[in-house]
Amino acid sequence: MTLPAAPMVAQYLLYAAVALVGVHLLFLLLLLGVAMLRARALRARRAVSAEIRPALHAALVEFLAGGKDDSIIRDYSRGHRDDIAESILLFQGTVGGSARDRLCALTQHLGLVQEWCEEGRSRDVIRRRAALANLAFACSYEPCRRLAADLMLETLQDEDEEVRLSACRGVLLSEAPDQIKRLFELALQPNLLTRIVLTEDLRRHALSLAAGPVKAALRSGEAKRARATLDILVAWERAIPLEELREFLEHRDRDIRVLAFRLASFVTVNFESRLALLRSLNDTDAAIRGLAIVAVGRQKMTQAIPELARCLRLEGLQQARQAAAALGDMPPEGWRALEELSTNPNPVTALAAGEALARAKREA
Amino acid sequence: MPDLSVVLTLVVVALVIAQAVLAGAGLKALLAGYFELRRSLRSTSYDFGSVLLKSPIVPGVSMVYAAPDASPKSRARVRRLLDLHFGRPEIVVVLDGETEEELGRWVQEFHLYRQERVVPEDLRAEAIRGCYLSSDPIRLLVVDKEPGGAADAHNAGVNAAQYPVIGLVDGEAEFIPEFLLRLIRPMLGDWDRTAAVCGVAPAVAAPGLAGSIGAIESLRMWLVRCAAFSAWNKLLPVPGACMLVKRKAICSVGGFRDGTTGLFLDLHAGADGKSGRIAFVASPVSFRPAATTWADLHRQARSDQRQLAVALGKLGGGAGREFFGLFCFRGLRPVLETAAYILAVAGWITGLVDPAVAALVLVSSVGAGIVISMAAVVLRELAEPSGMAPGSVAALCLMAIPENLGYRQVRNLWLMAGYFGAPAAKKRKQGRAVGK
Repeated sequence: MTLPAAPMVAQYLLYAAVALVGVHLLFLLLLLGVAMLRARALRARRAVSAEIRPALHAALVEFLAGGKDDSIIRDYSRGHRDDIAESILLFQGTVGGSARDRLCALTQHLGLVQEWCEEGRSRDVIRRRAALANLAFACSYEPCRRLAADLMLETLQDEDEEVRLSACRGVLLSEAPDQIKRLFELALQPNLLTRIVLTEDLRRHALSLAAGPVKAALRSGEAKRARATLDILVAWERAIPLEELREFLEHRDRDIRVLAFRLASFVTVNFESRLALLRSLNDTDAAIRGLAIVAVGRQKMTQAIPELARCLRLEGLQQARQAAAALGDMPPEGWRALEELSTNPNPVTALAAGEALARAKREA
Repeated sequence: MPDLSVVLTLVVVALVIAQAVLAGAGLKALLAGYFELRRSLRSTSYDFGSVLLKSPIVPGVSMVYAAPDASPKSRARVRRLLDLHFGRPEIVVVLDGETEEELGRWVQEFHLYRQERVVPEDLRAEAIRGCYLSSDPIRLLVVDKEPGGAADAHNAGVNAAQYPVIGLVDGEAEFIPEFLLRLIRPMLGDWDRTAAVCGVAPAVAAPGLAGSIGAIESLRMWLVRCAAFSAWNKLLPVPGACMLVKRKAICSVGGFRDGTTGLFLDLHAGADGKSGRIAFVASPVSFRPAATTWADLHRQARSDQRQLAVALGKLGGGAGREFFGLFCFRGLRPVLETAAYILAVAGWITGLVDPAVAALVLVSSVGAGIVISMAAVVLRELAEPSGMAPGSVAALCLMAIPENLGYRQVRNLWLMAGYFGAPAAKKRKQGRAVGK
């Protein structure tokens, strides 16, 4: 290329660049048109929803209060099925018992349950998610549960986490022991969200699970499984019979120890575990000492009073307060110790003991 | 003279090619961001919020806030943090070398009392003068320390934090009280592999030309620096973002060296796939308030550039090759573009550069800029309808034209001043100590 040809090349390049930008702009204008149409449709849908929702809500409230007239709901159910479903689901956290059954029966009579079952098999994850969440609510009603049972079991293997979780919640409502055990195993997997959601739903099966699967998981010898199980037990906050905690109170994994001490505050523990609790009042880890003080207090272990008094004399304000509270829970010996220590020359000890004694007497 | 003409023409052409490459890369990033946004928004839902709120299995979060001063604004910020909805939150406020009088204001506002406590020294930070708790039923820990700058204050806050997850909020961010519940979800879904989560959404456009231009800038940033970077696992916090970072991950990179951008750069650099991914939450958990005036636009551009300059280094060497693209866009592009304008105009006036070549500069900068800005508006609407009226969407889209004809050229100057005029890291670290 010679230099005199440069202006011509530059001109061609300019034309090409302008054309390229122009094509892009035209394409974007086309997309803008699509976006505007979508925006208009969305706004129109929202406007209609906003218009009918109050009437729907009022009709549902009346229906739940025992009203027989569901004509408004049925009228709207022909053209506004999404609005009906969303309005019904607004009540899922607020109604229980027979009112909940009536609501679920209504969803069945309106054909919503069948629709959700179909949508639960959709390839669109958003539709599947919404359908399974709705079904998980409706499954508290036995006839709905029968309709959705197969789908619920199928979707336990879904690729989407939320779909799986909704399916788990629905399956748990079936109360089948083998399914409960299976879902407890699922809760022990590393996914924390699954564990958190299932722990909540498994709580009402705590006693039956504690008898078998919980013990098996704790005895598995795998630290991760043991930690997950303790996590669940602590979250349940149930006084389940779980005597053999000693192994975990003295475990080499600090996280497991912390969980075991938190658990020791509300489960019944055996002699060995009590001894482990006592020993831990002298642990080198201050956080463990603090947890041990709380656990000893909750277990009302009067044999620990001298150790608690020592903690009250030697620990910092926060743990001295915990030790004093533990002593306050053990009248009359604990109170006597507090009375003595409230005149201690150490201001921290005297303050904590005085506060705890006053509180204990006030609450007695 | 002919030699000079050839040289000048070649330089301008080289600059045009560089601009075209950057514009192409920008458009590609926008598309990547669009697809990532679609994916991210589809996988986001707000179910289980009440379960997360109640469950003791959800790890606690320590919100670390390095208070710049004891002004009513800073104290109001702490009040907002105390209103967060979460099961186990803790607010750690770090006072970086505040005077007795300033400390007194904090004590009075939050009814603080001094507490003796041993703060771990996992990260290097200036000495702590005292820790204070509130006698009100609020989970507030105030750490009073010797002056050392913002990064040092953050390190002290992390040291004092009791929970395994550290929460951070950008200084300009407006956030919703549920943001911790939303941000913690990606972490819970993949606890072992997720080191951090970052959430932000674009602000709603303010009225007026400046407001619309601010909204377009905010959309571009959201699509590229949030969504596209997240798709490439290179997510960095942007102004207005809220973040959760695992305490262990912060300690593994030696803590903050300068701001949150620097921390995330270190997390990426130190990750090698070990520390884990940084997840992006595209839902409206927080945002930077929209610019309403030209002064706002100037301030926002300057502060963002300064943060990037400090994190990336003046020559882009601070973050390795991974973020060289970002350096090219934010550090180099304004310089190249301004140089191209000057040379093209000078060459055209003196007759040394062919008018067609000079016009190419305009097409590759202004034309491409209009395409990119319009694409940002349209792609956002297609990824997730903003709820704006159709007419407003069209109007915002057309604002791309005035944005690129005048404002863009002025903004280049702001960006250059912001990037190359940023104070050196050493000076920043002196922080309040210098001011006193």
